[in-house]
Amino acid sequence: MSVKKEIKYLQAMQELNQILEGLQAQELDVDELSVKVKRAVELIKLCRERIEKTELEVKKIVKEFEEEPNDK
Amino acid sequence: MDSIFENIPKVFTVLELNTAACAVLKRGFPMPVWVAGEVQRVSDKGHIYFDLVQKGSGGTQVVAQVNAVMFANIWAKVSNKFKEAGIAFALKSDIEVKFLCEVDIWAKGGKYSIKILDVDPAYTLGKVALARAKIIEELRKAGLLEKNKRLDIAAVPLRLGLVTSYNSAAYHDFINELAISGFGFSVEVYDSLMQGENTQNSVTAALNHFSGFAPGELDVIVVARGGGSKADLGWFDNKKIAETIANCSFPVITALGHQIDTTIADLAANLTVKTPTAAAQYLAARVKAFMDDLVQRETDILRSCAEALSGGRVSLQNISLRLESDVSGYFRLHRERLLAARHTVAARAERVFSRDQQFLTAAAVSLEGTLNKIFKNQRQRVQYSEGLIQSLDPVNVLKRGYSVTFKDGKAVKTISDVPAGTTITTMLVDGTFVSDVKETSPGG
Repeated sequence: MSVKKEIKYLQAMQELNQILEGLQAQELDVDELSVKVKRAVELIKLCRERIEKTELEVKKIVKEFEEEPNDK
Repeated sequence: MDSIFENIPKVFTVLELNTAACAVLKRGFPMPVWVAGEVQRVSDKGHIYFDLVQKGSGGTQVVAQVNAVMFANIWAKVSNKFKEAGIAFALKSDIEVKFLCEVDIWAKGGKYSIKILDVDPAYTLGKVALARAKIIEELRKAGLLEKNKRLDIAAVPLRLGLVTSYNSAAYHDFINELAISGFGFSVEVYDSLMQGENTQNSVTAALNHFSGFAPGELDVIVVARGGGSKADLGWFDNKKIAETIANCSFPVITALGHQIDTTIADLAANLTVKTPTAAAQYLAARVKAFMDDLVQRETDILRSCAEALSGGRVSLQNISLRLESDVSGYFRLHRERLLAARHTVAARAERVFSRDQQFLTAAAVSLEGTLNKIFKNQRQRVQYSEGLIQSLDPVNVLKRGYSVTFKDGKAVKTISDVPAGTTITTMLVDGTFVSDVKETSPGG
């Protein structure tokens, strides 16, 4: 299993929430707005890609265990 | 040898002996008997062979044991009975069971054994339940029932460790359901035995394998088992498996394919679902929930952004409107003030003018009067002066008979100027004459 740059989904979600709260509280000035929204869209895209754009991948591990011959 | 025995005519073959012993035994046990004991060394070869053991009060020492066999047809009947009662029952080691059995000697082997005819579910279950309750209590005391539940299942559980029998129905149900979701799940399958005596070793090895992953490499471990026979569920009423689940470093989801019963393994798991399909659905739903949340956040952010912008635009508009009205108000006010001021100034000026005009008119009138007076006065004075001057003109005086006497060119004004003998010149109006003074007399 690969340990790539792991997206911390929850962190992404937290950051998104922060941006959203900022927006809703109308605390952001317009200059900041575009930066934040860009960041939000980026995070969303990143998460979505990681979740959707990977094929289902299955890997098998076999460790033989003795079993009674007629059991299966 | 004792002579008494020499008279016994019959000589048995071994088989005859065994058969005869068996007959005696059967006469001694004309009816089947109930025997309770602990099952050990189960061997399932179609027919199930095992040892029925009696243990000492300590629970470890074997006091007595007997070989037992349950033929396949009996096992089928018994399984069915348990199944109908809705009870998970597996004939496995360490459980205490009450069997109805026939005592038997296998003629060929000469071995004494019991042949199982039936199982008493009530007794067996009572014992199973007791043993089970004991295990559960031990796990509970050790805090192992809650241990795995304290691990949070990842918000996006995409990397899965699957403990199941590879290629089994459970495996396919699980994988197919994941594939349907369309999410990028990554599954590592550990091919395990999900029934039989080796279930414990196989499943714990699989769990330990996945538990050894580094944090962040795996999200969830799923233990999945297909429909199969209900009896086989009993393999998961297992303390070792439960302990291993509890100690896993990742959340464990059990999906053992049963509808009603909960195994001990289930109790120790983070989450228990009924079927492998349900487990896959749960995971996919969790990922989808995250995705939906993501979409919701996205919508919210864009909407809030639009609102913030339009809010800004509106307030700008408001400000500019207010500014406009303020400015025009300011100008209007000042224009009004200017107009008023102009009126005031004009009115005051007019008042001043009219007052001054009156004054001037009056002044002019009075000035004229004064001037007239002055002129008249002056004229009078001039006339008077003229008269005076005329009267003073020496010519006029001379005309009136007066004369002027000069001595040496100077007018004589006193008698002392002309002592006797002085030559004087006297001027009359029409000529002069010279004379000598004879005598003088002072006084006028």
